[in-house]
Amino acid sequence: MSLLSNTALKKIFVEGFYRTHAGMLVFIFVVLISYCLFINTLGTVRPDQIDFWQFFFTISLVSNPLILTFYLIGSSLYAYKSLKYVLNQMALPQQEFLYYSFTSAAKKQQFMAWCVVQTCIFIPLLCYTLYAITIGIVFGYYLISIGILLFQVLLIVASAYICLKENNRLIEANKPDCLIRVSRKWNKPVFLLYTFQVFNQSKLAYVLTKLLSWVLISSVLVVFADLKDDSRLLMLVTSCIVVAHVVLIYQEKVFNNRYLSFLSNFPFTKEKIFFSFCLNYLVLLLPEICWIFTNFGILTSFGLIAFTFSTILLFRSLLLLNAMQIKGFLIWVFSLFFLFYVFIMFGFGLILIPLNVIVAWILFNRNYLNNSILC
Amino acid sequence: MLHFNQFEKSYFNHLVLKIDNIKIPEGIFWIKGSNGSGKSTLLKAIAGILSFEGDIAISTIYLKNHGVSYRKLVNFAEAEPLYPEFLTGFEMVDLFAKAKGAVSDQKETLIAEMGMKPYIHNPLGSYSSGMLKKLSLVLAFLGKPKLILLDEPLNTIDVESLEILYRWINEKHQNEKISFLLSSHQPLDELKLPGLKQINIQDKKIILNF
Repeated sequence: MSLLSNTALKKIFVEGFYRTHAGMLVFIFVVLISYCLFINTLGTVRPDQIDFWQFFFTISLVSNPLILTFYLIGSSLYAYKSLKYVLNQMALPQQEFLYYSFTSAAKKQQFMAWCVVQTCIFIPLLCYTLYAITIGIVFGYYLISIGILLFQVLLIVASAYICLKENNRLIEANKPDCLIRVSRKWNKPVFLLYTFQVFNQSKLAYVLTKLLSWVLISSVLVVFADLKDDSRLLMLVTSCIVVAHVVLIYQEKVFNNRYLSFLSNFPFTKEKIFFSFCLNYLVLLLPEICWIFTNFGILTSFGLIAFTFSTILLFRSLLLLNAMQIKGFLIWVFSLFFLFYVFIMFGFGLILIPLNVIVAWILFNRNYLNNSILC
Repeated sequence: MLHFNQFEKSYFNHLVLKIDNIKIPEGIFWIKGSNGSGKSTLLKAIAGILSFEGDIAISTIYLKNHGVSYRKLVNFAEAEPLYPEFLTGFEMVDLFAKAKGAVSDQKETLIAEMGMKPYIHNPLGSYSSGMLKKLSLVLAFLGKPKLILLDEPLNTIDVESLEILYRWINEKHQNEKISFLLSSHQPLDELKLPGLKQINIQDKKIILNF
């Protein structure tokens, strides 16, 4: 029973977690790779200096309280994400059997199984922690090194305990989210439903997206501080904003496929369906739009917003291609990002606005009834 | 009423259905076929949801040339409906009523007759599968369609609701000349649906048994 359950739990939760978050891992991988390429292209940092900075960062983790705090916050966020994933999966009808099969085992056995599941999910983080600890111990930072490990073990045990409690309690009806209760009397246009979904069930993804967007904007502006009003730099910042939102764009497609499949039976023109979903991004990108309008002139702002929406339309249309999955989608997105970079640097940025819309329309027109399944 | 012109549906180069040139007259039809024979695929293609080769028309209105007009004439209820959980049943009805051009009191009448009044303002996340199924049936009757497609309409609904569904189908067909295509594994009550005709799906083709 125990062995069987462990295999089932690992397949459902661990493999599922890595499959679902492959995009995030690929994203981090691509960002790191592009960062390394960027450093090498400049040619001002020697390989031994790169090794030094990597080593410096790792040693800071076990010696500098600020870096340590960031790492622990990161670990907590990871634990929250993993716990949220496991609990969401547990609530699905196809996983309901766990409530009347796995729960008949001894509590201790169940707890151990959940600990194994959480440990497996934590493997990427644990690997880096062990690497940092090794360096920490070699250089005599015993207390913080052991502290980091204990903190992560505590996160694993706490997560496993919550899973155990959740799996053994009686299922109750979910209380609607606060925003949903408030907005019950509002008129909800069909093309804005995804926005409600984001604020109902993907708040963390939204907050992380905004955080990433802010980090990207700040980084580009800091790196190119002397070019602040250069239109090419502003377009580069704008393309970074859109790239930061690719997870939301992908999730919109999943949401539309799952819950709005009836839309294809509605008497709407193709043009209406093509453009109207931009309403979602008008709301979701409101902080960035406000930032653009308050910092730059009206004409420049409209240009940047037009570029933003043309790129979003293009990315949305890419998702209509047959059997497009998150990995392939991200590869497309980053390839296009580098292409945009070249266009913008050579001063052809504005051409991208009509070009994106035309390509997006062609893709949409050919594939909008495609039966590709996203999961 | 319904005209297939060189219809072909494939999934990843694997042919699922091929209908050369067939005209289906007005009426109530029961689409029969084994699991995986393509019943739901056929209904979704007719509803304008799935892509396919060839064309489908209602009278002279072709799906690929007159998408908007065509979709006004065809309503569809899924076998296992899934809707956004944060919407209420009434919001869904309202959304469909506006899109399909339903007259003002039609939605209230349908909701009341299907016995959904007590929970129509609750979020869909709190609905059982039977309640969702009833909602999908109400949605399929909104507007002024010429053809209503019901995928597995008997699944999960109770006996009382089934009686209402049979009555609606008969009334709509007799009074408004609306045609129905029903796919079902379970036998449909031919006494309650007089004039029910059968369409079989066999070997990737449809066979009209009337």
